[in-house]
Parts: sequence; structure tokens; C-alpha cells
Amino acid sequence: MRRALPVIVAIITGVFILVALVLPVSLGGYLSIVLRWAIVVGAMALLVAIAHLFLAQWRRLMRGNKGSLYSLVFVLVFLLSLAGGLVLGVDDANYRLWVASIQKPLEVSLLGLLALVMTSAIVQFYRARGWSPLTLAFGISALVFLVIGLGFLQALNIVQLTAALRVFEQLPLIGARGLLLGVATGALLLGLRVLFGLQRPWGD
Amino acid sequence: MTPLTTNDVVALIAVALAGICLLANLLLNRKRRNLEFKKSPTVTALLAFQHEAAEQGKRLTFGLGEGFSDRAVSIGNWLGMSVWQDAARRAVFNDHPSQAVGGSGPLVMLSQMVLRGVYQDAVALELFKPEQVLLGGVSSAANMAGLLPEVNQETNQAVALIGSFGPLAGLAANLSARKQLPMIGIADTLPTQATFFASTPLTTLGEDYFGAELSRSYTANASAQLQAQDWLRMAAVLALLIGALLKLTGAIP
Repeated sequence: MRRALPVIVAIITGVFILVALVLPVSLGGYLSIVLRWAIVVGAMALLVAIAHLFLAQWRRLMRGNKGSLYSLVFVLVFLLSLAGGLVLGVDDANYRLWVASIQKPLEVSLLGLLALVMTSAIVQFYRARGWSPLTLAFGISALVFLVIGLGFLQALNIVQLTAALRVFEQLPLIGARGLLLGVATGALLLGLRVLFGLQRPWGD
Repeated sequence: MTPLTTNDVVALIAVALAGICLLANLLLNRKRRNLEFKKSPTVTALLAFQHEAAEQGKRLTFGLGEGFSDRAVSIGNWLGMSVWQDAARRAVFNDHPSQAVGGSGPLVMLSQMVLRGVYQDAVALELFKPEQVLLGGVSSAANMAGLLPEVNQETNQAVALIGSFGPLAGLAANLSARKQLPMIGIADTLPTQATFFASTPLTTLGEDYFGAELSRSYTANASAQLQAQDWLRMAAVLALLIGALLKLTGAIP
């Protein structure tokens, strides 16, 4: 029974949300309440996970392992950010600037690094995967659509060429839609299996 | 709450159709004895890596994706958790059990609960360490910043990224390649699938993502999903063809 109870609760909640989406007028109000509960539970889970991350870094720092300097930086910045949020409040402009000053450089530097990494990945792509119709098509299409995406050809203002390029620009979208249809049907069916308790990733 | 739009009605029809297809395939598969086995080489490779890790006293590192956050509201994360649960079950008594990093609080907490269940089932609760599942960070970049140091560990035998990832996962793929660690990249988003396709030979494309589970534990209902997926794909092709014909004949604007 202990194992069946979470499954029953999950199934009832899932079915309720599906029915509430079909009958928004009569069940819409209740749906908002259930979604708010989900947000509260999710936020609590996030708090616990953050506390857990802090404790893991703290333990690493105390053990003095290799790389504990990074744990020290983490612990200090975390405590400063937490104290700032508690004292100033999360809507304070200075506090938001502090958080953005940590987050934005991280995101920008990782994205810059990704651009370099993907360039080198393309160079190593054929060495890793070998030559096949699929890899060849991948390489050629990547190159062709990169050139088209640069916009130089469109800038030539040749009517026939611009019309042809417009057709070519649709091709990746067609491919992506084909793949997305597959992914969507897969996600839909997996969702139904989870909803009806046929799939239990949280345990058998 | 606003009333249903045309798109909502179409979505509901799709859900109903999917339900019917799934149910029909479940009933059909129950009677069949010789079910077709469709192995995903990507997930079977994971099993091989796990054996090597056990032999060499090393571990597997899992990236579980960005989880159930506003950045990646995807049911696909369940799949990563299923594969990881199976891997954790096999590594309970290893020198180095599997390590996982998740990108959202609920995903990490659910994964910890799953892991605890694995150790409880193995009657080895004293070996359970909550640190085996860590929160990487609460944004895409922060999650990757949390995952990269784990990929960089010397005790790694292989790396598996299974779930909803952004293209930044390419950084983890690159790091594992530089460390000469085999990497499995299974994602449900198209940009990340393209990134993995260029970065690692062990990846899946399109809906093959959902076939990954079948290689892990072959069950009648997993097989029913794949067959129902084929039926739905055919229905989508038919609908597109009919739509194109109607458009050409001017029946629809």
C-alpha cells in the first residue's frame, strides 16, 4: 500500500489536470489551486536541493580535497548572495545587479566557449563518425545553410536567386517539423503511460 | 480560465487518438508471445561501460537534464531517470557508485528518493549517500557549470547525458572527448540532438529518444508505446497529405 499510494495520487492528479483542461469553465478554478500546490511543492524541493548542494560543497571544503578552493568560492558567494537577498530583498536593484553580475558573465562565457567547441567538433566530426551518406549530408547542409544564413547572397538582390533561397530556407524547417512530430508523439505517449501508472520512473 | 480554442480541440483529439492507439497496442501485445526487440545501441553501450566501470573500480557520471523547471517542462526527463535508476541499481556494491547531476530542485529530489529506494531494495541502505545526486544549478549555464567538474573527475569511466538539455551540453561532450571518456548523449530537444550528433557517435535522433527505455528493460507496455508511436506517425502523415490535398483543391483557405 505504501508504494501504491503515490501512484494513485499521481494518477488522480494527472487525470484531474487533463479533465480540467477539457472543462476549463467548471474546473478552471480548481486547476489553478492544484497548480499552485505544485509550485509550492516544487519550490520546497528546490530549497532542499540548494541546501543539499551547499552541504555537499561544505563537506568538500572541510575535507580539503583537490579543488576545495572552488568549494570555498561557492560557499562564500552563496552566503553573500543569501545574506544580500535576506537583508535587501529580492526586488532590490543592487541585489539584482549583484546576481546578474554573477550570472551574465557565466552565461556569456559558456556560450562563447560553446561556439569555439562546436567549431572544433565539426572538424573532428568526420574522424569520429567516418564518411557515410548521413555524415556527408549533415556536413554539406550545415555549410550550405550557414552560407545562406549569412545573408550575403540575399544582398545581391537577384530576384530569381532570392526566390530560390527562400525555398531553400524552408528545408531545415521541414526536417525539424518531421523530427518534432516524432518527438511530440513519443512525449505524448510517454505522458499517457505515466498518467495511467504504466510507467513508474520513481520505482517499480 | 479561457474557453477552448481550435488548437486545444486538435490537441485533445491527438491525446484521445494516442490513448486509443496505446490501449489497442497494449491489448494486442498481451496476446503476442514473440515481441520484436528493438535495441538502441546507445543504451546497450551504457551497459558495457557499466561493466567496465565495475571491473576497473570507476564510476559512471550522469547528467539528468534541466528537469521539471520553467526552462525545460518536458516529460522526457522521466526517461533519463529510468535509465539512471537502472544504472544505479547495478552499481550499488561498486567501489564508486554512479554520480548524477540534475538541473532542477524537483528532479534532484525525486532522483534522490529513487536512489534511496534502490539501496533499500538492495538491503544496503547504509551505503546510500545523498551526494550521489547533486543539483548542478538552477539555470542552464549554472547546471552546466555544476556538471562540468563532475565530468572532469578522474574516477569517471564514462559520461551519460540523458534528459532535457540545452545546446550548452556540447561543453560536457567536448570535455569528455578531451578526457578520452566515452559519452552517451540522449536529448529530446532538436538543437541538443544536433549538438550531440556532431559531438559523439553514441546518440539518438528524433523519437528514438523514447526507444532508449526499451533497451533498458523490455516490457510489453514499452513495446506498445513504440508501436502506437508508429501508428500515430502514420496518422500524422495521412493528415498532412489530406491537408495538402484540401489546400491544393481550395477546399480550405
